[in-house]
Amino acid sequence: MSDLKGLARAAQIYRGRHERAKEIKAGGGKVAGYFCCYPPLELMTSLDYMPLRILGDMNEPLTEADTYLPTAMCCFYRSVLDTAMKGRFDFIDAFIGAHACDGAERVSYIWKSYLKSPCSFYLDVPHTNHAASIELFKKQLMYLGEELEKTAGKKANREMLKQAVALHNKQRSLVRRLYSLNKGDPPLMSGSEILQVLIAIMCIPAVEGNALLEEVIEEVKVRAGGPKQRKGRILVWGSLIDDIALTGLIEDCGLNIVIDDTAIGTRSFWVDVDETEDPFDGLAIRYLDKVVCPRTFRDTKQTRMEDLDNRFGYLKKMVKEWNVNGVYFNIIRNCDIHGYEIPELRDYLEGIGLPVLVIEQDYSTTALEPLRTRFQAFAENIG
Amino acid sequence: MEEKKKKKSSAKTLQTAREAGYFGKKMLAGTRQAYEEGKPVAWSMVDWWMGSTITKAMGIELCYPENYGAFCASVRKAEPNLDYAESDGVPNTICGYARNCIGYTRKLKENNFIIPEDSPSGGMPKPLFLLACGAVCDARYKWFQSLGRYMEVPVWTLEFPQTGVNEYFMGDNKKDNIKFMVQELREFIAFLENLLGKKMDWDNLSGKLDTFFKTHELAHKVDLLRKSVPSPAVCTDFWSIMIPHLYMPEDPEALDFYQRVYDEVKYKVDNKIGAIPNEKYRMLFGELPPWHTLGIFDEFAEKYGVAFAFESWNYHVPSPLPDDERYGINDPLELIARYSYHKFNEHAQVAREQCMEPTLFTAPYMKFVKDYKADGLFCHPLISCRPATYTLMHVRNLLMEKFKVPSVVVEGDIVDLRVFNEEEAHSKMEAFIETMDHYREVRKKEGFEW
Amino acid sequence: MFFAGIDIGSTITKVVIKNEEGILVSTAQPTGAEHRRLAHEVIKGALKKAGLTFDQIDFIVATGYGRINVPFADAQVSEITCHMRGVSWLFPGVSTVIDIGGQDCKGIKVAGGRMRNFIMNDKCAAGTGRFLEVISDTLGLKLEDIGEISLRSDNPAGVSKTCTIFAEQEVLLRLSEGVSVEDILAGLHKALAGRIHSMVSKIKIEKDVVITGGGAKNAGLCKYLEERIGFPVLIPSEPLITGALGASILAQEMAAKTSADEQVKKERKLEAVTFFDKED
Repeated sequence: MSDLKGLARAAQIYRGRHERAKEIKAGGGKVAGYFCCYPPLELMTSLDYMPLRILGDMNEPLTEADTYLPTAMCCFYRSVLDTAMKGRFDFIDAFIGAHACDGAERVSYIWKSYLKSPCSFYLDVPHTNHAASIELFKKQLMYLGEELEKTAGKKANREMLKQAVALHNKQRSLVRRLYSLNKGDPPLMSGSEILQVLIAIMCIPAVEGNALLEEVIEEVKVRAGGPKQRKGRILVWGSLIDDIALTGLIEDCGLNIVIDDTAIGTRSFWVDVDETEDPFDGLAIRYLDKVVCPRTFRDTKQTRMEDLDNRFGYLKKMVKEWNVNGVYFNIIRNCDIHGYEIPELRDYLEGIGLPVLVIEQDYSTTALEPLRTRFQAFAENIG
Repeated sequence: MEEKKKKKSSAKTLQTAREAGYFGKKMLAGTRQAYEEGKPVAWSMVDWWMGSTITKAMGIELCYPENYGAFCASVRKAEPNLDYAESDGVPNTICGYARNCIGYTRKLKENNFIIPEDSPSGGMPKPLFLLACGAVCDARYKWFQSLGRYMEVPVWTLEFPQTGVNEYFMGDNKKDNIKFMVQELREFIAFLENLLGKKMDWDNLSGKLDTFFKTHELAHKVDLLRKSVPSPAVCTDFWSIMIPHLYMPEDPEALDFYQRVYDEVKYKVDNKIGAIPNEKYRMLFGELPPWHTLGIFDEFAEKYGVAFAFESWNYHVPSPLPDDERYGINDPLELIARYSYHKFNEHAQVAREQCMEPTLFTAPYMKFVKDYKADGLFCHPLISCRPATYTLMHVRNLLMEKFKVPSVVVEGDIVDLRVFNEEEAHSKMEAFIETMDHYREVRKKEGFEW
Repeated sequence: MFFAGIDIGSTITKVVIKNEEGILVSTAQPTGAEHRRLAHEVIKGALKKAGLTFDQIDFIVATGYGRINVPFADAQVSEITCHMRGVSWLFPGVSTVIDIGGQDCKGIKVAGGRMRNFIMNDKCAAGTGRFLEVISDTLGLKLEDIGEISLRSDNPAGVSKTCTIFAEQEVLLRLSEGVSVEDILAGLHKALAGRIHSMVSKIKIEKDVVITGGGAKNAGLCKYLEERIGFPVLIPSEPLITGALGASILAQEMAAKTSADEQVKKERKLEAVTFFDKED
């Protein structure tokens, strides 16, 4: 274990994302790697699997991906598979793929064909939030639990699951507190710092993650020398950013990232799991219905405006609470889920007076510099 | 100069295939006529689980924007629609069918929902609702949802469970999936009843289902006949004759048509008449074709004696539902659910035997390659369609690893001819002929049957 | 007072020096590999032309993709903002700016001299001057001639490819089919205009439209773009310098805001220049 604390510790974990997981393995523990926001962490934690979010690597040149995935596929999942084929995740004891989107779905399958973990499971996630979908999803979660139990060498009873729910709910409320520190101007944390903390807690056990979050909150609350006041207070919307090279570039151009709606940011933490009698009910409802991502289809409402508010209304709330004056759409190239949403959400936000910057990026640090002009021009003309 | 100009469309080898265009026209004209008469019309995705049959049983006429996209591409009229969609902020990386439809819908709206006169094949009339589908790809519900900016009509997403290979065999998973599908179908019918203010006509539905299954059974028999050497029909035939079974299998005319297709193919098999004059190589095609340049397959046949013996798993009907799954099922919705689930999972056993995933788009090729004695696979990764492309390299690796069958990869698109390089396709194919020769030898040495 | 704007683009570096009255001089020369040295040289050249010394310049704004390599600049501003400002100054009624540069293509939406929106082409060269460069090389023609040549065609060849490499192959194919160079060029310009139009349409093209950058010097491209847009477009007499002009206008504004320590600022600038003189 490290002597570093708070933000410094978060940065350390961020840089060596798999070190803690490997230490845990060396100590006889187990690690479960999972895709996106949909496999319930509580199932892993309750069986003493350390949940490890599987991410790609924007710094790693793609050398293996082309053999398995044509170039027009999702750039993020191409990187995920590329690093996995190079052995980066060979140490995990369980692989949990998920039907988060076409990319996650197909890459889960291909992963399972070539990389054999002691346990592997593909979690189907229905596209609708109908009652029947939640019921089916609950059953899928129970199959996942059973599969994990086989290699965990133990069974999880309701009590254990409920404890895990409480533990992860605590983590969620800490993350929300962390974000609330950015409501003032200037914000107390940079987008890069928040990203480092969130990635860090996705790479260590929940108990340690909660301790880290508490340290960071205490440190940041009283800090001097956080981000400078900048003209732009922006919200980042999109699938995800998992490298500070990108957040750093944005902030370098005169924009403060104060809040986000992305899969490594608020989407993973914004809502709690209800503490239901049968914990699987709470899990199914939370992970299928309450996690907000354009991948989930919500039945159309009576009018156009009601429909848009139903799909995007939460963003208006974020914009108000965090005093946002611009929105950046971070589109990882070939992302269909977010791609179809662009004209709709752009008009919706511009309709409330917010400028929107849309960039399709290639998920590679070497391709970032040409984007500087766009961020800079956006910053020069904001506010 | 004129004679050098290449023919872009395919001449097709079956007489019935040349006639199949009728069904596309019938479908579009039918919806336009219904619209004129004030009857309900809807747009539907190819739903693969008979949501469209249910919709038609309620008296709604359907047309299919995916088919319309393929049609616009085949007559090379898609570009203006693609441009018009892109200029509204839609990324140029999303589905070509979708961009064609989004551009079309935008024009339709701007023309006060009077179909613009220059619309290919007469165009699609304004729908009462949009029937999206959760099977196969995200575009097929996100795209319809995104049309909300042009027309305020409800979207219904008919969800489809998508299980993994091991998961398919777990406990009661299959039962749970089918139960879910039945529930979703009931919800859908409730939606339709509410929308139209009338009740489902169950007798009408069961009549339609009857014809549906008969059409599919004949289509499947045609698929089986195509195992013969030489190939009695090729990919360009299939991509025409599929229109009736994909879009209107419950139409008695479709059933009659398939009887004629069957007869024509059977006659060719019985008399050993090949689709192409001098079949030297048999290839598979994965997955969706370059609609704008189908003539290229005629050229491959002529130049190299390549017959595309089988293709496009997703467009084919499944084998008939096994008796033990059909027996004692009285609820038509359960029958629909079982049959549709079967379509997507009938190759799960093959996948399990080969220790690979997934069943969809991949495992079927492990079977086709043997059944159709394929010498090679033509992979057509699409710039704008990820779901039909994600697993192509995977299929390619598996065919080589497990069957010593090589593949040639030519990138392109279903609709966007701007990204398809015909010259490249020709030079790659030329080189690939030698590769196929080589692997024939390899297979022979290793004791494969073909 | 004197103000300078320096725009280091991917192929051409431009300088504008102005005072409160208007533009004094403008220069343009090819951008080499060494931006820093070049920045120094072009500004020296412009100063000479204007009969000024370096000390007399009160404020310098650098822009263009090489802007970070201008150590003596007082500020750096993105070329999007600079083009918008430069064009607005020349054409106060402008609503849409289409800038066709060597490596990129931009559409900028302006209202009342303020930027409302912008769009830039992707990493691909397809909608840019680079596309025409490759094609003129393939055909063995001079870049500055191909626009005129394309106008001689009354039967533009069908060019479907937008990818630069594919289009190059398509050109060779058309040549082998005996299609004339005029018709091929007309087809290519039409295709390029279509691509640019489609991209810029995302921010809605509205009157007045001004075309700038190297592409504006290509009469064929402008004609086909005008056809697609459907109404006449405006082209500045010197379409290359609008970015540098915008930068010099911003320099003037920024100088007005910079009240204290001007002398110190000038000292720093001189040091920077001396440093590069030594490196020479």
